[in-house]
Amino acid sequence: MNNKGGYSICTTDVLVIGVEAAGAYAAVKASEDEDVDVIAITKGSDIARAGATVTASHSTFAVECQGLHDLLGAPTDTRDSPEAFFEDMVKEGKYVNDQMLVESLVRECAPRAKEMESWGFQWDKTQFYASPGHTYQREIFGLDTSGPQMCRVMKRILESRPNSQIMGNMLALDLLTSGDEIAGAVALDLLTGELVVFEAQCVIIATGGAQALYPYVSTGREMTGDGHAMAYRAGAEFHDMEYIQFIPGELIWPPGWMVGVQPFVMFDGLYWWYNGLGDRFMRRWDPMRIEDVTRDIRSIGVATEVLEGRASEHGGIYASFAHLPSDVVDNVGRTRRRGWISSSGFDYNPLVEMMKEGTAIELANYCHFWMGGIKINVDGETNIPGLYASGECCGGVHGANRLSGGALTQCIVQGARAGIAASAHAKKTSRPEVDSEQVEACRAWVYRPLEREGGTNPMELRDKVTEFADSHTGPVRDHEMLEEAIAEAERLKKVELPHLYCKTKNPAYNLEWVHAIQTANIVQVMEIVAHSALPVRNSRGAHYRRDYPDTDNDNFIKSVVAKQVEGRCEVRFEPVKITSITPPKGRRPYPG
Amino acid sequence: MSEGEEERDVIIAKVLRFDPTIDEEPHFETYEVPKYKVGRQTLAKVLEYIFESIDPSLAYYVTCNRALCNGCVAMINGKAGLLCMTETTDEVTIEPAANHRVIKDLMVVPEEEDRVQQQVLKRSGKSKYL
Ligand SMILES: Cc1cc2nc3c(=O)[nH]c(=O)nc-3n(C[C@H](O)[C@H](O)[C@H](O)COP(=O)(O)OP(=O)(O)OC[C@H]3O[C@@H](n4cnc5c(N)ncnc54)[C@H](O)[C@@H]3O)c2cc1C
Ligand code: FES
Repeated sequence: MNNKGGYSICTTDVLVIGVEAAGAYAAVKASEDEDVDVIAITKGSDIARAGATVTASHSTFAVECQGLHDLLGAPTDTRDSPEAFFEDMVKEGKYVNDQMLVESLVRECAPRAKEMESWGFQWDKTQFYASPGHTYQREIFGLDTSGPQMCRVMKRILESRPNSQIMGNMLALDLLTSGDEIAGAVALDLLTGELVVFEAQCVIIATGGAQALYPYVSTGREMTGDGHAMAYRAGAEFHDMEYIQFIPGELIWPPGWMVGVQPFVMFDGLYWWYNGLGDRFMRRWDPMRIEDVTRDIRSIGVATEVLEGRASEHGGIYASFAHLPSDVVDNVGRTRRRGWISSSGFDYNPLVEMMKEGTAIELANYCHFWMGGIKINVDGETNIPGLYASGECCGGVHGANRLSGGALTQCIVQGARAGIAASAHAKKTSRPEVDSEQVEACRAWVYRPLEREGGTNPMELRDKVTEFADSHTGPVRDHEMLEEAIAEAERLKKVELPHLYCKTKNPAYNLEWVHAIQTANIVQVMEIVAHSALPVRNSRGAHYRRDYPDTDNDNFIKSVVAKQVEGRCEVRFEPVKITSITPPKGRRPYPG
Repeated sequence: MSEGEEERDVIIAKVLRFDPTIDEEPHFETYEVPKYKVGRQTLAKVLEYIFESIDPSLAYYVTCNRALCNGCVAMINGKAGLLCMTETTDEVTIEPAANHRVIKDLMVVPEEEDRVQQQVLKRSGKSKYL
């Protein structure tokens, strides 16, 4: 077994961890300066082989229309402006967004969209959307796809430059620091099972969300908050980790039909929802619009039924077409370009036939997006000099809820900012000395599951953790649940994680081992979420406290900042950063 | 299933296993995987079952689960296909994608990418403690 040996060392100026929308953009901008070396690593086998971006295929970027019109020559609604986009984001974010981050997003989105075009990204300038919350039609698609096309364009640039390099199958484990500054990171070369130490003046974390803390995800299952966990261990601050977006779109029964998020997209608006008692429960949340409400309210409605024991047979809720005559369903199919066949060519007709006959399908909440994350300023700087972050792993810009299209835009704006800032920082600082004791400490925790002769199975523990997280830190929370989650995270860290054990001992491409490492990371993320959600004693956006169901603007227009201090997660409130919109006052029943 | 044939409740999956750090030659292993009574059972689900419930040393690559990343390409009953989109048959043979270096079992890397990365690691690879 090759786990006692040495490690390879790669030196670079800027190390980017995660190389999709945000990380790839950062790497491209950082490597524009030929004197700055950039390595971008991913735990996927390559760019576009992991993460949310590649799954965001038929997806939109939200870009204010004036910019779309003036810079891209797109025929859109020019009544829109950066100011109007700003107002929509802050309103939908329920006034807890960091307005400096929003300001940068709304002003820089159009120039970045133009920049992407100059690199060869093709926009579809014929159709524009305004999903709920957008006042104007400012959502725009990529011509063939959005996320995958973006990855292709970035890959070509990064591979063509002598000073930039993408490395796949590199699982980042821990950050390295020297004094107060960042010194690089340790990663596991998944192909060999050996450690690689990256020495760098700057590290940009762009590892996306932590969807896989929950049993169902809209992304791939590899989104385990590794970047969050390593940043936390290194002393980084977190911003509003209580805001996590869920959508009741996971088709849990019958099994096997969940191909991407397609069923949700295809059937939405057609089906009625029932709980396990046959009650159309969404009437209790909105008697007029019933199921036709925003995603946050839907996910909270569904989570409430499940938590209060009124779930469907397989633990979700029922969704049915039975109220629709079958010829109406057929007609809906006919009016669509591809009928009941998804954009990726997947055929849903057999499922539709079953539903037409009156059988309901069952849906559960999947975790879709993380509004909270690592705390950054507009340049992507964290509280640790040399450590930057961008994209979905960062908190603040969306506040308590995000607008559709805002995530990909966040990635390009923040990715560019972090890349430029890190590149400049790397040039004026010298590479700090790597402390081999830190590397050895990392090696010790990482290799232990391989060395143990017995203990906890990583996949079984993962399932226990995700089930627990779902029932305690899902869309609906209360004081007791969150206290229990904090205690459970502590117990898991003390009692379970130290016993993780892999039956498979060979370190080369050992998936069981990868699960062990990732499971430790989701536990860490759950701890931060629970600590951040506990003191927020009101309901706002994606955070619903059933013990405090009102939106309280007098006491909770605040930012929650969490950080590890002497082994404990400490949380403090900070005033929300306001530039131009003053939040409202008063207390109102949720949704505020 | 033709009429009169008894419905099987297991899938017989033959998977080509090869760990170059241990094995001299690739070899097939055969697994019995419970068959779904309803719904669609993709090969990604079959392999997940083998990995999680029978043999955690199995290596394969599935991420997007929706035909977008191409990471799960493999030889399925002798033809190239995506594990995440292909519904299983009652008996199925799965082998690694052709023209790739086999890292382990079904986990492969394209020859070209592999070559570039190995060069970087070698170039910067002064090792400590060896
Ligand atoms: C189905 C779907 C549809 C969506 N539709 C839209 C839309 O229409 N509009 C919109 O704006 N947004 C949409 N989103 C959200 C948006 O796609 C994501 O927020 C965005 O792509 C995140 O990009 P990112 O670069 O921050 O992270 P990701 O794309 O998630 O990439 C994370 C990267 O980090 C790497 N990584 C993670 N951990 C490690 C580690 N330990 N070591 C090394 N690498 C690591 C991964 O391998 C990956 O490369 C959608 C998301 C999904 C899932
Ligand atoms: S897992 Fe991405 S294509 Fe199959």
